[in-house]
Amino acid sequence: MLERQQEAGGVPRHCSHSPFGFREFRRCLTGPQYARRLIRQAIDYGVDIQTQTSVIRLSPQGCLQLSKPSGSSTINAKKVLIATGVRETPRAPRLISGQRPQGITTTGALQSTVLLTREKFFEHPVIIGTELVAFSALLTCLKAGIRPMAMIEQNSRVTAWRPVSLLARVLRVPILRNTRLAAISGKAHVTGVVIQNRNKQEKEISKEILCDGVIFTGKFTPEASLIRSSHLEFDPKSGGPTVDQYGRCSDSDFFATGNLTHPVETSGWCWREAKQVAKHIKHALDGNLPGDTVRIPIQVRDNRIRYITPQVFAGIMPGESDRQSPKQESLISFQLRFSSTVKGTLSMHWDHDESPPFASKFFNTLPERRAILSIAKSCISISPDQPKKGRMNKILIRFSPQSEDQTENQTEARAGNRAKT
Amino acid sequence: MNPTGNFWEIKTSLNTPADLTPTEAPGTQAMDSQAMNSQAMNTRSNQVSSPQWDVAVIGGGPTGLSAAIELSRQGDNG
Repeated sequence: MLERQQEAGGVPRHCSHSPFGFREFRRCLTGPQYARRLIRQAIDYGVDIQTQTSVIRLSPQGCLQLSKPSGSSTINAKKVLIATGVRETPRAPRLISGQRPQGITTTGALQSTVLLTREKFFEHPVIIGTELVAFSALLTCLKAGIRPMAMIEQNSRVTAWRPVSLLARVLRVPILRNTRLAAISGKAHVTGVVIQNRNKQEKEISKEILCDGVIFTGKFTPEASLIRSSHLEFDPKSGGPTVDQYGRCSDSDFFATGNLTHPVETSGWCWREAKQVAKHIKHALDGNLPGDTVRIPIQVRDNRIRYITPQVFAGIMPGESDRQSPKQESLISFQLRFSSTVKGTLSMHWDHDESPPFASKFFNTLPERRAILSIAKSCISISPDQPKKGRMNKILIRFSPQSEDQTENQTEARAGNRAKT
Repeated sequence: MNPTGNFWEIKTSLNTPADLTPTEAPGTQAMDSQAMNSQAMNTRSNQVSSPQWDVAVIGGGPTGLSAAIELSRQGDNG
């Protein structure tokens, strides 16, 4: 295993709060405890962990060029798994005006500084965003004796799950909804932020909050610099590599999993997913993984859908072995994210929108929330002659928003049911 | 810098002595800093050919660790 930092363990090493490890160890652990346990387990199983080793180039046939303090080298692997994770979007790509004073950071930088150096960037910052990681930043602040002034959310609802958002209320940190960060004030150090929100008459009002720091949270993007500079196919929507249902990239010697393929999920979710992809890699090494000669692209034709993964379906031919557990054998799961608050039906079609959907599901969700569509593999298994006939060349994803009439009918039906009860 | 980013090859292509340190080689100013970190630049580069690995996992976070553990476990089980 190749890790560019001095220690393996990833982001949880810096998250000094709980809960971590429910899925993995059936225990409630803090981030560093969780990372240490995983590393210990890996060493016990004989994993060769090479730290301070950066992979600087991926080439065909599993060839990796490495850079270490002792020099550069090249290795060849039969299969390569890329799990480089994600990073938060810093200030610059968010187009926030103002100068460049000290006191602006991201959750990751804050947590590593607080944990490793015990330094305080600021005393009273504002937190931008309300994803799950924003509440992680809130907990880190409180542990370090930092008192945030407010959390700022541009949408009308908090992105994280409601029970998590109650944390801010308990800690008496106000969450400002429908509010946008317009500018950061201060020359040498942050002195305040200018926010804009809409009142009931839809008029935009600007206000200034006095604070000495800004923490940007969330808006994760995959750490895909290696993929972009390599021969592997890149998916601009997810910002990661194009993978099939086995986590296999466009070059079958390379696999990808975790947050690199779907920004962003919890470490427990990634842990479970990585186990599954590891099994696929083992099958590939043994020559038991279905081939990727038929790769059917999954195309999204709706701006409300930010991305879907896997982006390619490797066609399973009848009779082709697919040695997975019986439960997994019957289902294939697509994970997607919406770019706005949505309520409607997502459907999957062969080749064109007019063809009848072979799978559909109703979604009522917010942006950045996990959305899963699981369908029976038998729905999309194809026979060998189908691609040759020019049919089933692609899968189209369509989203039909629920109309107001349908919403009203649903509300009435629910009210009726309640009355009956 | 040559397109492969391989420092050892640069030295041979410039026909410089084999023991010349990377910083002494002419044309190093054009080196892409992203392709090779400064620590590696100040160290004598060496091209090491290693035996083929079964699986290389890039990234040591929970995802990489989980996959590495599972692969080792599966390998132990044959």
